[in-house]
Parts: sequence; structure tokens; C-alpha cells
Amino acid sequence: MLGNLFSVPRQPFLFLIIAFFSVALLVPNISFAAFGASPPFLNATHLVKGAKYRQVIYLVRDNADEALPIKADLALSERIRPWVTLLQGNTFTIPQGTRQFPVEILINVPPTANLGVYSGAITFGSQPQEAGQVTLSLGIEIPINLTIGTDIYRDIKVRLVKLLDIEEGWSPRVYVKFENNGNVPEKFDSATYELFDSFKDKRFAISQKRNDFPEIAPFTTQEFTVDFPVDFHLGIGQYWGSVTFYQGETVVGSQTTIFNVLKRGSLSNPVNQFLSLLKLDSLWPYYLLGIVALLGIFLWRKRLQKSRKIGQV
Amino acid sequence: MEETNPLPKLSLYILGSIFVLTLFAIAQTVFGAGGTVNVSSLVVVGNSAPTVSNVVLNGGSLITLITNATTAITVGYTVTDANGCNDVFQSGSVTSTVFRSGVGAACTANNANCYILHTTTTNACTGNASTTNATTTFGLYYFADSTNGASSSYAAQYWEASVLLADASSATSTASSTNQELDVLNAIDITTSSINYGTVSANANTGGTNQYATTTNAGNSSTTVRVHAISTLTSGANSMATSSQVYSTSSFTYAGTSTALTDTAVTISGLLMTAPTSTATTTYARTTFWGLGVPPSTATGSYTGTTRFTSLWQP
Repeated sequence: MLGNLFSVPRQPFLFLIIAFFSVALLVPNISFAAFGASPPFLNATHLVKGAKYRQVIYLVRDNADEALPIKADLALSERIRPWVTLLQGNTFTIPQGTRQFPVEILINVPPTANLGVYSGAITFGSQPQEAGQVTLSLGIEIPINLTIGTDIYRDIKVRLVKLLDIEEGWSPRVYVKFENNGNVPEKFDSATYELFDSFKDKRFAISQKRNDFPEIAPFTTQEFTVDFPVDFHLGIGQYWGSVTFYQGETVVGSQTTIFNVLKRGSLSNPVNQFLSLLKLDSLWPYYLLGIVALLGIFLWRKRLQKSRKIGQV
Repeated sequence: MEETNPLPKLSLYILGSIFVLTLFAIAQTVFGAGGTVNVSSLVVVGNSAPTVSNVVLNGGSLITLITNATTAITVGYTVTDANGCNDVFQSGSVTSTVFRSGVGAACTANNANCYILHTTTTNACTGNASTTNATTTFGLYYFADSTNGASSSYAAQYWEASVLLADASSATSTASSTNQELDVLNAIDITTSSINYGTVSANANTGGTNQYATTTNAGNSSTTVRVHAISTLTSGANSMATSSQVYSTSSFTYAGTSTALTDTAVTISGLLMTAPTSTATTTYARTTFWGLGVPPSTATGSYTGTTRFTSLWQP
């Protein structure tokens, strides 16, 4: 005769002990966490040969009372498997207290890759502690779709335009968060900055910029600061600024808001203060001219001294 | 010749001056009050309309939600009022709205696409300064509409924040943030952490007694569920075939209409969970029913294993 999975001991004392531990093992843990991912797919459909694509996928859960070990399984064809890298590795742990855990997926398309459409999936699965007879684990499958083509695809988004507080005597500064989702480098073509008084009644200056914008690589997001030199001394106080960024004739980002001009040294260290005082960015031709003139005088005097010595001899 | 001594003459002038000043001082003292001319000055400080600017939603970043919970999203903005910030924060009002562009800033509050708050979470209004930075924090539900990319629910739309100020004189100002995307979230929740079949004899099965695992959609997208055994039921060196466990989307008497569990993930047929639109989790919950058939010649013991439920986004 075949035995039972759980045999019942005859000794009452032993039975009680086993029953106690059995109940402890069999009672389900009710504080189970939901688990998922955002976004739950990776669609890189405008790749070109040699492209480097990066996407962050957040593994998310609602209950972060405990650290959660995760294992990633890559179901990718042999051809594209070497292209895909998980920055966190294939096994990692979501720390206790973390509800959104970023996983960076890098796609490096080789310059020799064949044009085409490739697909696969990555599954992230939780590795929970044993909770009973059949422990339940949660997972999320991330479909991966890659298209390698030759088209030029342009897609930019200016996520943030912020007029920064500055120090007395500085040029107005604008902080920009630029997202390039296309497969070619992108940058602003031009920008205008209008400076107003604290009531926005009187315009003090207008500055136009047509170059010196940073170039943002394909599939990347970059944050940077743009200076707008103005022929107006900005004393301590509040001012309104209005900035507009263009690509061609199209407005791609703008902001109109108040900003503060603070006393010298409020934002920068002494070295920066000194350099700022020199205004190298706008006055460099004069400095260059001065250095050349000094060098000329120096050489002229040296030559004069030499000719005098020869005369004396 | 007449003798001229200038000193007495000078003394006379000085004494005279002191006398006149003394008289003036006495007159001021005696008749001061009555002689003072009161000049009333009336200055009416007019109302200056407030201005809101620099509205930033979620710090200018993509919005990523948390499963089965709310996610704190900030709206930052700058308030300027020449009458001082108290004119807005104490005597006036601030209304912040976070919304999907398709419903507009004048939307009706709805956890899927429109959040409205009439309070500020933090503001730096001290000393009645004319310019103040403030933030309002919202709790966005896990089922808020996604807008990020072609695979989202509202691909052509975006999320935006709008702030409306009013001062004590009901002068108003409004401004909006730059556009932000809200990402697609795919997630499931299971109400139990294990399935327990109890004691089952070898060459026997659970019959009409099913175990349950209730799955809930905990994201903002439709999802299917795939199941497989990560490790089959094992007791020391002994194990049972993975297919010993069976499941179905309705109750069954072993094996009935059930499907055998496999070692590779298989989508549970007929279990598509649509995106939730409210917190009524029972509406979006689906139950899978489980049974076990212990093969003949299985050794006695406590068997344990692990089964994975994997969510897979569905367009």
C-alpha cells in the first residue's frame, strides 16, 4: 500500500510539535506584493547600424518591506543576444524600501548588423522565500522588438525649461532638459531671451543666440545650461525672463517666469567669481588683443636692449 | 576820538539771539499742541494681481507609477504678488490640476485622468515676500491613463499641470507646465503567497476540492497571465512530475477541463485582464483553480515547489 504525503505520528506530544510547525509552514503569507514593470516592453524601431540604444525599465512593487531577489531570463535569438546587456546583471536584488527599481537595458547594434526586424523577450522573476507547499512567484515578461533600418528618424522633446537664479553681473541662464528619441544627433537652431523688470512692464534687453548649443546624441537625454549675454548690468533684485528655443522656425521649448539676481558669491566659489568678473566669454577678443600687445611691447623692448648693447660694444 | 570796543556789541548780539530762541522755545512749549498743524496723509495701496509662473510637473521627468498604490507626483510653481505672498496663500486660494491633455484643465476630478487639489503641500511664504516657490503633491493611482508612446492608451496625448491663483481681491492668474508623459505600467497582484493541497495520498487526487489563486490587474494596461513551474514538487530526492499540478479558470473535478502545469511559461487561456478604471479590485480580479494528482509510487513526505505567475502586456 502507498503511504500518505503527510503521515500522522501516534505519539500525541510529537504530533503537537509537528502540527505546530506544519501550520507555521502552511499558513499563507497575506502580505504579498504586486509586481510589474513600467514600461512593459522595449520597442526600438528606428535603430541603424552602429546605434547605441539605452532604455530604463522600472521594476515596481507595492510592498517593499523586504528585499526581493530577481532573476532575469533572456529569450533572444543567437544573432541579437550579444547586442543586449542588462547593466544590473542577470541576477540582482531590489533593496528593502525600494518600490521602483530601474533596470538599464543597453542595445549595441554592430556596424555589420543586417537590416531587419528582430524580436525576443526578457522575463524578470521574483525569487520569494518558501511560503508553503507551492510557493507562488511573480514575474513580468518584457517583449523586445528591434528594427534595424536606414531611415532618418527625428523625435525630440524639451522636457524642462527653467530660468535659473544668477549672481549680480552674470548673464541670464536657462536650464534645459533635452530628450532625443530620434536616430540622428539633434540641437537647438536658435533661441531668444527677453529680460524684463520685476513687474514685467519694461523690457530691459533682448538676446538672440544662433550657435553654441550642445549636440545631443541619438536616443539620449541631456541636461545643460544656456547663457544669454545681455548688454545690461543685472543688479540684485527680481526680473522676469522669457526664453524661446527653436528648431528651424518651430518653437520646441519656452518659458516665461521670474528669477532672482543674488549678491556675488551666493552661488559660486571665489575662482568662479573671479572668472565671472573677467567676463571671458564676451570680452575674450580684448584680452587676446591685450596679451598680443604686451607680448609685442616685451619683444620690442628686448630688441631695443639688444641693439643698445651692440651699439655700446 | 571815540573808543570802540567790539566785545560788548558781540555779546549783545549773542544774548539777543539766545533771548529770541528762548522765546521761541517757550512759545513752542506753551502753544505747541495748539499750534501744530496736523497734515493727514492717505495712501491707498492698490491691489496688484498675482502671477503664477514656472509650473513644473514631476520635476520635468517621465511619470512612472507604482503597482496597486498611489505615486507621489509634485507640481512646483512660483507665485509673485506685489502685495505679498500672504495675499495669495492666506487670503486667496491656489488650485492645482494634473490632467491628461484630452480632458483639459477644466476637467472633473477622476482618478484615471484628472486630479484637483485646492491646497499647497509646501510654500516658502515668509515675511510676506513678493515671490514664493510652492509645491502641491498629488497621489496618482496605478491605473492613471498612460500616454507614453504608440503602445500607450492615449498615444497622441500627454499629462500637464495647471495652477490657478486668486488673491484676496479675487484677481487671478493661471499657468501650465510643459508636457510630460505617463508611462505604461503592467503588473499583477496575487492575494496569496502559496497554494496548499494538504495531504493527498499517492495515486489519488484532489477531486472536486480546488485551491485558489486570485490574480488582480495592478497596472494601467491590459494583461494576460502566463504560468509555469520554476521548480516542481520535490521532497528531498523524490519529486513529482510538473504535470501533476493542474489549473483552470473555473472550478473542476480533477482532471476535468483543467490544463496541466508545464516547465515553460504558457498563457492561461481566457484570462485577459483589462486595465482597471477604479480601485474596486474585485471587479478586475480573476481566479485560477488548482488541483493535484499524486502519481502512483510516490514516496511519502512533505513536497514543496514554486510556480510563477508572469504578467504579459497586451495592446
